[in-house]
Amino acid sequence: MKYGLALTLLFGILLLVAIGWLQSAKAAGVSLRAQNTPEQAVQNLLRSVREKNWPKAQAQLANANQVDSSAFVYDLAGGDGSLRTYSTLEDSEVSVLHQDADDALVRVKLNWSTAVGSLSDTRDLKVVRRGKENDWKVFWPVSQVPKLPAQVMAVNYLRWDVVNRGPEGEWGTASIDPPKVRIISMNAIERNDSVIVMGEVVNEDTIPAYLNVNAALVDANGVEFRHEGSFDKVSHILLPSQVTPYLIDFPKLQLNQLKQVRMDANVAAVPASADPVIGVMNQRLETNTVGNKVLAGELVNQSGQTVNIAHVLATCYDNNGKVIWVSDEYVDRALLPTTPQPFAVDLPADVAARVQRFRVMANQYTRGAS
Amino acid sequence: MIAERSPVGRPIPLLLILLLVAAVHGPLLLMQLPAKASYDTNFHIFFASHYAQHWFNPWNEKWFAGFSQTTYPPLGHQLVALLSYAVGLNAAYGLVQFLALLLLPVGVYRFAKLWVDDTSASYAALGSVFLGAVAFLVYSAGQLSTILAAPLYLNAVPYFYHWARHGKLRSLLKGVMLGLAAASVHHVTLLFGAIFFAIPVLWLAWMDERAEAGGNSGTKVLLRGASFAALMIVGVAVVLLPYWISILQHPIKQIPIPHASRSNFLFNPLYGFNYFVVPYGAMILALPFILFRGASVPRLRPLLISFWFAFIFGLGGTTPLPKWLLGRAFDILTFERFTLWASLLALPIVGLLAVDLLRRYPRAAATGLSLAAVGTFALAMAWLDMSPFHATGGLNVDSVVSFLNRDGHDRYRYLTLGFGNALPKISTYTEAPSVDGEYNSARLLPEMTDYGAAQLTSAKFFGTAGMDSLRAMLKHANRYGLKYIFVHDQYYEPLLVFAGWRQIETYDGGTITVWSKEDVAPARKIESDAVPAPWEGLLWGILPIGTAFLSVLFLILLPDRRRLPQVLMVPVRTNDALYVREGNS
Amino acid sequence: MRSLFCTFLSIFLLCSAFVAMSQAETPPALHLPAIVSAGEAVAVSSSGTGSAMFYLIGPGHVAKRQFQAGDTIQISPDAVATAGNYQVMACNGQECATTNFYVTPNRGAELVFLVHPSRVPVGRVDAISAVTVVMDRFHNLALQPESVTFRAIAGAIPKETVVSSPPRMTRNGVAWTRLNSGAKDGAVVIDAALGQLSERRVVQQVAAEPCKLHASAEHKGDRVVLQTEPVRDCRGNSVPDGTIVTFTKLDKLGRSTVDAPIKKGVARTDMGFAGPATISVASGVVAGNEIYMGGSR
Repeated sequence: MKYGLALTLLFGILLLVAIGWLQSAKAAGVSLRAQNTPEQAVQNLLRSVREKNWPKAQAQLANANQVDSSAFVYDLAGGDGSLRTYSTLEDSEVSVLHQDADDALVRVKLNWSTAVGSLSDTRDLKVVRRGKENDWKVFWPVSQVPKLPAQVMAVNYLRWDVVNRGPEGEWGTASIDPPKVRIISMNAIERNDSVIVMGEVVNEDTIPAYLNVNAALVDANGVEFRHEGSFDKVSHILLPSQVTPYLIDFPKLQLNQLKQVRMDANVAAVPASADPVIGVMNQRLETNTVGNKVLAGELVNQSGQTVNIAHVLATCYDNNGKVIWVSDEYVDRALLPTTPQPFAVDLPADVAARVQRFRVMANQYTRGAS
Repeated sequence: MIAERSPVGRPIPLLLILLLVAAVHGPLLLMQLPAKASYDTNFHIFFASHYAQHWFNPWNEKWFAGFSQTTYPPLGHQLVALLSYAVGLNAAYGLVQFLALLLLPVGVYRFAKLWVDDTSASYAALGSVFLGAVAFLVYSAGQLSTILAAPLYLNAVPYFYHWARHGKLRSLLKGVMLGLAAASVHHVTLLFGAIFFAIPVLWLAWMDERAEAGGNSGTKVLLRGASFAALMIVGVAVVLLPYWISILQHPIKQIPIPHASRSNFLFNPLYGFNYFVVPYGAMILALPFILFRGASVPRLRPLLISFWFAFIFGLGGTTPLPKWLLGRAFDILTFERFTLWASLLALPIVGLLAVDLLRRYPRAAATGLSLAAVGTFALAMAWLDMSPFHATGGLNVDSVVSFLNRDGHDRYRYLTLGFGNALPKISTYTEAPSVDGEYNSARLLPEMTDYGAAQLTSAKFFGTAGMDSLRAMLKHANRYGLKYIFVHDQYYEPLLVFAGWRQIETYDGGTITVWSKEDVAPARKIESDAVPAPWEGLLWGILPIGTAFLSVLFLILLPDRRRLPQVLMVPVRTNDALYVREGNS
Repeated sequence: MRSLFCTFLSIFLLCSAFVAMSQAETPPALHLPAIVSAGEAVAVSSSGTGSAMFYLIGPGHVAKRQFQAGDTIQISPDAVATAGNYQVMACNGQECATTNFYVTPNRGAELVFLVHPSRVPVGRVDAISAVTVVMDRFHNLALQPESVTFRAIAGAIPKETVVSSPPRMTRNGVAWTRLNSGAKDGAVVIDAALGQLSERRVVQQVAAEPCKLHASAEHKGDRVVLQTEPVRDCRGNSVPDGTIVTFTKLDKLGRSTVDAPIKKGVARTDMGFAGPATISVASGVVAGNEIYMGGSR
């Protein structure tokens, strides 16, 4: 009896720990019986991916022996300094599309946290019953790590450097004028409780321009009441004669609240390089696996230098040549020299229905080149 | 019976324990280890630096485009600020931390004496020197306020007991003033200290009063306890009035920020090691004894139950109890401090265990206990290096500070990425303002409060929430005059490139790069309704530090009356141990 | 009795006043020209008696010194180097005499020359703005009208071509002109001359938009190599390297585009070939030729 309290407290601890374990297990999607459904098999695989436990993840595959481990890791963890190497699988949404006695098709939406924000990647995975226990296991599509033939690519790099006069320069001495850029179109629309300002800017100068496009909204009294910039919905470095789209988002606003939009293209002369050149091949409008309209194509890096992260900016025009939408997409694979890399930029359904023409450009980040 | 002639029968002199504190912690603090290895030390120094420059103006423009320091009780920081005039900020921090560490065994000794005999209490005090939780909080977490507030509470609680038992005014005055000083150091300790320390002591006083006087005498104890509590509530309301105003004006509504101490340690063994094994150390071996001895002795039961709750809370999200009891507050608090409180609550019983063992196996126990104590402390210190979690407070930021302090760069706001706990160090030594900061509760900018992430400088560790928060802030760079970004982690470079920043400088062999955006105008003052009124600044600069001075004054003017030790003959059952308790007033 | 007292008091006060006045020094007065040239010494004659304090307060100089009323005060050239209104004061304790004078700028001795833009396409009318500000040797704006000549010198010696503007008179110290850009690309020196003084700035004349942009396509295996002819403007100047030329191929797989920079005068790229395709080339708003490539690979 004298230890009754001790035993009660001890039991209390054990009980609370057990409840906590069950709650956490439920939250983490851990089941007491492993891989008893196709969905569970995918969940277990994704848990290993989240933990970056690649050997464990590969061991869970139905075709573990056929899958090259380096290709498997390259597929999920990325390589060559790609955006995927800056990513962590944050969560996933799994749904079974089709299930038979021995195989199933599971759609999984992988939500990655990356260095440029969140990215989603939707895949349809085949899940089959395998092994002595007749468990469900994921059948992973066999892929290869991209291999380039050894070659020497002659590249004439073109680069601009800017030498500014120092702070001691006298008034009236020559300075570098900022490059001349021109906003060639602007269109303001209302969409999803936001006012969106978009258009295009061209560099009319002979040197590269560093560009920021800002918009100020003016109300009926002539007062500027909101300011926003194009952030990453623009190419900030514009080479001579290059055109970039821009898109500026004003959330929680309606068009009737503003009278005027004041645009400001802030420009400066900065050092820049004309390389690498990225070709945007085979651009076409199509419907993706989840039924959304996308502007798909392939990016081809025409230089000999690996582009770590590419950013696709797509401008959509209506039949009057007016810019009606600007979409963007970060490509999570590195662009190896001359190796096509697919991309798909989402388009809203109503925009897709009105698009008559589009123009796609690729912005890029190459490590050590900034 | 305790053999009075045996060395074990005599309490260890407190002075000896204090010398041990100096021997163990003194060199580590002289090396300024907390500033190099801990997470929060730079934060406390930053707050102190503001008080050193603007004692009566708690509005600090250097973080979050302006925030009020009334959101954090100031006493610890003000003490550092005061001492900094003589020895500089870093050394002043070390001195205040040392003061806290000196007060800790004194508080443990006085607190333990309420529950156990002097000898066991002295062993409890000795144990406090080597507590893993203390080493963890001082050298790894850098929680100055928790470490300073705890001994103040421990020293206040015996006065609370004596007031409740004997109704002596001097006990009331000293107890209330020490309690107010503790509250002025740390608000969380204020709340949980009342629950974990004061309630069991009140219960004990009630039990003791009833055992000695019998009948309805317990009611008097409860009434005195209530009067003490009422005085404390009024006192805390007045002393920390600006804090209450700010918290009522801007209650914490931000999206919860994940913290490892809230996770389930069974699912994250590394966190379990960090937040359970390291802080408790060898005390884990004593847990069965704590449980069974605490339950078997009626006088120890209030202490045991309090320990049990603190212990469960210290497990963070391993059990659902904290979430059930705290509700939304669960997602705001961090739980490593509960492990400290649990350890302190367990120490009286651990003291008993030590005396028991020494009495039975003098040599073996002395060796074992010494090894356990030193091992616990050594593990906590070794964990600083072995742990996969490393604070970056020791990062050399001289180049960043130098950049900000020249050529008018401080006219713009700046941001650091990948600097972790070195951010407050930068802020301390430059006048340039930042949009980021290290104190989550003071943030009011929607770019931060709308996302479940803490510091922007560590955005990547908060996943999508962190990176979305960073994107939101970068989008509004022009609004905040955010021109310069210092990068200590290449992870953030792609976003900066695509968002239009350009690398303009490289420092420290390329480990630190400076990025700039061309079209940003100098920073403007961001209007805020959180700016404290001048009278609030005045109160903030006078009352909290006043409680510290008054506490010292009362302790000098109203010294404790010492009685000759006397053995109270309490009838006990033969299978119970006999406890000796000294009654002090 | 009261009136007698008042009478005595009045007499006393009157006497005291006379005594005080008789002991006072004569207040100093200052005499100097109303207009002085910058940097020229000025002699200020004074009248009166006794010791006094002299103050000189100007736009760029303030001085104070003691002098004996009646003496001539010399103001050094340095003290009146800055053009503008000056005030001189002489005070003897109770009273001050004040006189103003104006320091005019000297003759032009320095040119500040502003030319805009630093780059200009060829063949543009009034494309170059040249503004000169004439200063005297003390950096005052030389306000008196002076004749400035602007010249544009293009090409290298000895084949340089010089275009001079008619002399321009400065107005309020400023003379300006607008110049047409030349027909050839390259650096053009813009020169402003005032007597023996001259100041030079360099403007880069660059090619205008491409003219008659023409590309050719060469089939190489499963690829097609596209290359422009040397890209020139309508005056035959080479369009600067780095200028983007967009190649567009339209075939059954969709549209393919490459933004290729001009290098060494030509833009070049290659694309995959998958059957009949229409290829076009453009740079900025200038469209080039269109190529149709048919047949199987």
